[in-house]
Amino acid sequence: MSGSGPVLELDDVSVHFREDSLLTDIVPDSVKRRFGFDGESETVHAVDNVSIDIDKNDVVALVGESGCGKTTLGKAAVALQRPTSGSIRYKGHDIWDLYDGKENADMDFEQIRRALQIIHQDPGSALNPNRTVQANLSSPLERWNPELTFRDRRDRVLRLLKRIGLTPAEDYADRYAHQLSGGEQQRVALIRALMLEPDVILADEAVSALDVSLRIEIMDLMLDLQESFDTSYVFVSHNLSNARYLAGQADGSIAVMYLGRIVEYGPAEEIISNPQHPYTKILKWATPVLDPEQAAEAMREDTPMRGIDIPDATNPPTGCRFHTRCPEAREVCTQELPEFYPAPDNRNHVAACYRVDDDHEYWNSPELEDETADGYQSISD
Amino acid sequence: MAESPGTQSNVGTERPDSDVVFRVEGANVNFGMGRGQSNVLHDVSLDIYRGETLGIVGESGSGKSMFASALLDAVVDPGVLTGNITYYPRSGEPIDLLSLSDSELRRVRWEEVSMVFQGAMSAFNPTMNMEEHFEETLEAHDYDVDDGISRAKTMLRDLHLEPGRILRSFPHELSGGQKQRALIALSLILEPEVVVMDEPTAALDLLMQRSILNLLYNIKDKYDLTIVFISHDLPIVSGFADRLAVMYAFEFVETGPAREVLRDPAHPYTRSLLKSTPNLETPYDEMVPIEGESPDPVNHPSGCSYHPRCPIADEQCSHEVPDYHRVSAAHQAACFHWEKSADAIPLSLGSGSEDA
Repeated sequence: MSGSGPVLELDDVSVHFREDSLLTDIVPDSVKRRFGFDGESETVHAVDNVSIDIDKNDVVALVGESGCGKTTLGKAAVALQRPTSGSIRYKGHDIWDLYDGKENADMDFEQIRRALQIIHQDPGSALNPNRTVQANLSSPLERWNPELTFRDRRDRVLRLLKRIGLTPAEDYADRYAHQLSGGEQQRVALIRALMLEPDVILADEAVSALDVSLRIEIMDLMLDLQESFDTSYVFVSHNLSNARYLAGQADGSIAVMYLGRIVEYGPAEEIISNPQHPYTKILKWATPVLDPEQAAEAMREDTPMRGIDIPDATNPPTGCRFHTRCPEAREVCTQELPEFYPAPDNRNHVAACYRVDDDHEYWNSPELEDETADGYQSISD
Repeated sequence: MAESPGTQSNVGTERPDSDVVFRVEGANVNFGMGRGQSNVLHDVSLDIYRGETLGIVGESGSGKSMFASALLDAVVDPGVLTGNITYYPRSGEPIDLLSLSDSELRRVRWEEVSMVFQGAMSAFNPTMNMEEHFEETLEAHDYDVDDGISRAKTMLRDLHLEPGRILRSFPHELSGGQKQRALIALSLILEPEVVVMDEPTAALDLLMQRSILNLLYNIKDKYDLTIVFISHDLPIVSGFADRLAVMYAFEFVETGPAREVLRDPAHPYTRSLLKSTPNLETPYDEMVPIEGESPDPVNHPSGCSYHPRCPIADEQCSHEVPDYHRVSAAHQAACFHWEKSADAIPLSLGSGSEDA
């Protein structure tokens, strides 16, 4: 069963959240009407119609702005968020059917829970501050491997601490989380997730909170541990440089998300060196370069986007969701949602933009009226 | 005997004193701790020039926020700040910040020098809308409220925010990026000369960070600002800052024009820091982390504070504190062996531009 096919298959997954305010439930309709409160609960389209596979030993980086749905999609992938529609299969078994007891397979939800783990952005709050590193790392073992003695667990913890360079391991094992630096905490959180030898780890902005100089160190460790533990990572990040470093070295992919949808997907290096979607190009523009001349030039340009703020996810724009900010948008983009078009020289690389298709009617479509999306003139004195 | 970094005033700079807006001389901050004295700002001297954007860069715990607090004499108890910090207003006598009374200090803060912190989320009162925040600030400093609010509207518009909607909003109704921009507008409402920004964008996504930096870059001249921008992220300030000051272990180890410091970093720490920065161009195997850990503020290493991690350190570095060495007219590095650093720590900035 394992070995062939993806570990996780997400098929047409959508996650919607209803924004129910207390008022919706308790205020009588007559009062709502009187005060012009429409009483409709709003639905946030966090993720819409996403299909993606995660293979064994894979790295899939989900990249996009705050509020684009990357964390929600990641959580759906590791069964921490039930999708509103669509299916998620773990080694061929529908996760939520198993959860509901619908599928009688040689597998139960508990096994899946254990095979899919998460590490958070803030390792400090992911570790229990009242317990030592040893206790923090032992608890997953106590839960899942009750046959192990204290000594077994201690040995395993010490071995792993040595493995990630926290030596002397005995000393580190007896420390509390606040006695570790940020980088050390994240390393402990990482092995805590690996303790149960999961198939997939969701790393949610796992290096963003660290000092720039520590990020490579942690990502190197993640790659190193991936080899020994046969794990896949779903790496959520707003930073293309980090996504490139991790996914690129593992021959993984990058999925660029915008307002709940994947807008571009492909091999990591391809996405970086040959971005097709205007949004990916803008993310690339926003990624700092070290070269001072190039950086100064980018600073003198205005943001190459018609609006700085991301639109409201309760009411996403029609057509291509990016059209309200896209510098290349034309009339046709406002009407219909573009499907995926393969990039010219790599069929594994797709982008949901009409511009990728040389024959599309886009090229004859009138340009949008030139106004900034937030309705302001850019600064001019 | 060499001086410790920064004991000289006006080190290696070629600019006239009349351009100086802030002069920091021999600033020290000490905290008494159970384990001994913790020295979190170590004999720091630096001039800040009128109208410049100064980027202060360093890792967590290198003392960069302490430097920002020192500029406003806002070091929290029980920290003790010593040294000289002089503020030169555009007109009038220089002000010795450390000798001011509380009320005098309150006037300087915000009206002359304002500050933007990282946590925009906690800077606002959740029970007040934005307009009330602006009004409160204007009233507390006896400014005309109507003039102030109309200034606020222009500023919000310059920061790509819709003034009417923003002023009516409560903090929780705004996104992180909107709040941070509203906070920047609030910090500028009393028309300060200098604005000190401590990691103002670090909690935001990269696209929002870059958009805000571009907006700041664009409004800087219009509002006649001197900006002190503090960040742990060297590349984010590249292009934004005119001058860079690199902090390591509570001292400035290298200062100079941003372009030179990035193109030809002289201090081994600056070079290693750049080398450890993930980016889109450098080949994977040329990005390497810095060995070792930053020093403990209680047990400062002898000699050069970077010597335990430095690949070119020798005997001298372990017992003698390096003075600033002049790299070029306005560029200096606190390193005995700065001339060897380029060969020892090769660096490519991507896009094929090999560093000499």
